[in-house]
Amino acid sequence: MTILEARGLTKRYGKHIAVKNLNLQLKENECIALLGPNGAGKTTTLHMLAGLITPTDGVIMSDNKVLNKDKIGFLPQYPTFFDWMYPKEYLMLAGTLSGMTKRTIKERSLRVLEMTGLLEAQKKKIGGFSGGMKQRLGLAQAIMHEPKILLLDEPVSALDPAGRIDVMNILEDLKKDMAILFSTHVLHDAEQICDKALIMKSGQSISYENMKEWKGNRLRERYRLETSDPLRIEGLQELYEEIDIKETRKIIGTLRHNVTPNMLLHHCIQQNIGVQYFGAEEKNLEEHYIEVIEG
Amino acid sequence: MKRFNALFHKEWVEAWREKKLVWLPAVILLVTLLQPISLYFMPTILESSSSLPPGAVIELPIPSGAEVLAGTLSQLHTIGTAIIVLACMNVIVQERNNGSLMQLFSRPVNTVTYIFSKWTMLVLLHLGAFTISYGAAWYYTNILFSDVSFTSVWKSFVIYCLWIVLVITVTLFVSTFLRRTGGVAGISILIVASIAILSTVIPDIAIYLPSNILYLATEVLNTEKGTMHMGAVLATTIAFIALLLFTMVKQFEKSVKF
Repeated sequence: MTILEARGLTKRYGKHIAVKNLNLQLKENECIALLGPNGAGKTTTLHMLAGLITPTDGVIMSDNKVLNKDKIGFLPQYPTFFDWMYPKEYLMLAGTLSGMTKRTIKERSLRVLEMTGLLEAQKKKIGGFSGGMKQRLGLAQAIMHEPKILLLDEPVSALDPAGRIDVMNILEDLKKDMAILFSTHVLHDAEQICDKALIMKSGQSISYENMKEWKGNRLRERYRLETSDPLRIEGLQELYEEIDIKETRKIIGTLRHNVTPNMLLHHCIQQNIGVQYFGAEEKNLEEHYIEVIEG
Repeated sequence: MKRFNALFHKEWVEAWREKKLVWLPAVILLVTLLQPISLYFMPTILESSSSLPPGAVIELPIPSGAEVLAGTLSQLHTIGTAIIVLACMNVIVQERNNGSLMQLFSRPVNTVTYIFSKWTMLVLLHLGAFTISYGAAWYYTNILFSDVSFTSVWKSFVIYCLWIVLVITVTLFVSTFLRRTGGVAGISILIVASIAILSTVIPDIAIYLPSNILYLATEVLNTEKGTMHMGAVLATTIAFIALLLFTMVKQFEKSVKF
């Protein structure tokens, strides 16, 4: 079931086109990463999907019906609260605005505070929160009303490495209950937990890939070779069909049809080149991203 | 209604934690009480200022209670209006600028609920502060000067309340157009001042307009009954407030881009 679908989504600000003809499909329990350089239109897209701004053109639907805000949990890039409030008070306000009853709010707010690791911060006013804590509370308010769709605008960019891993674990957990669409610059995370990646550039979608399919589609494996001495590319070109990354001490590429990995290794030994690392490698999202953005 | 209550409650808690609930009534009380008290002590103040030649005799007519209360209202009309604008200029602009507004509106909240939760709270807060202050001024006037009847005080109170509601509405109205508090305060005061000035610019028409509220309220104090235009003034004021509220909601829906 397609829980969130956008067709021909366009947003124009005067002459500037922020998002142009974007198509997107989010199925139940699916996780999609929205990637792209700064200013590519990721935030505008998320704001349109969250119903905060109206698109100039295009439709947003959920299960072939008009999307209801109740279904959406949204975390803005810079979550902002009322500094004089306590975390529970904010969750109470958020829950009531989303139509929850008092009793469910009480139970649920404890649960989301626990999930986001804020139980100990309950007695503190939000004004005294660190950036990371605000980000966590932002996530807590976004999942407060158990939405079907979770939209997150760079959920990890304000967090320290440990916090980032925490949030990714929470998202991994949430995937069971809701569909997630989040924008990020951390490609590694996107690779870990997402099923699909949508790469945007100047307002347009330039690549929309199913990551599992795309990884399985690699016809021939690629081999990474790292050496202690500089490599001579000319000799290696006879073995490699295509070399993707060329540095003096590191190359990654696909081998020619009748070349086995052992032949490559043998070649290095013959030339008396010290091998530091040799192994098969999957193409990672980062390379794909760079390829798409620059291409 | 549940959503309105939640937002309305939030406004009160905010006002309490930020101590607006304390300072606003205190400041308005001070401004109001200053008039009867300073009038009462005026001869003493003049004597002790000692800039008069020895032997000079000061003879001030003792004003009537109604005159003192009328003076109180006109004092409030200038300083009080500015205080109200300053107290209201922040409420929408701040939430809009820091992004908390956007976070609220990612939930199913409509504009009318949001704006009315703020408007209702501000109106109740200011009218509450005015009630206390005007009551206190009346009490001191009765003690220090002559008695003023409850009916005339009550009538003038009700009439003047409309002015306060108007000032609050104008400030919130401007808040939906501008993003800087300074601008909001400036333009609001400009609008309110223009309304007040109308009574000298076009006196013939202004007798039917909100510009005449202060005059009506003081007249009720002095004569114990209103003039024939009272109904017209109240009607135009209420209509103007309603129009502002309506436009404000429309404007907020249209242009608030978070």
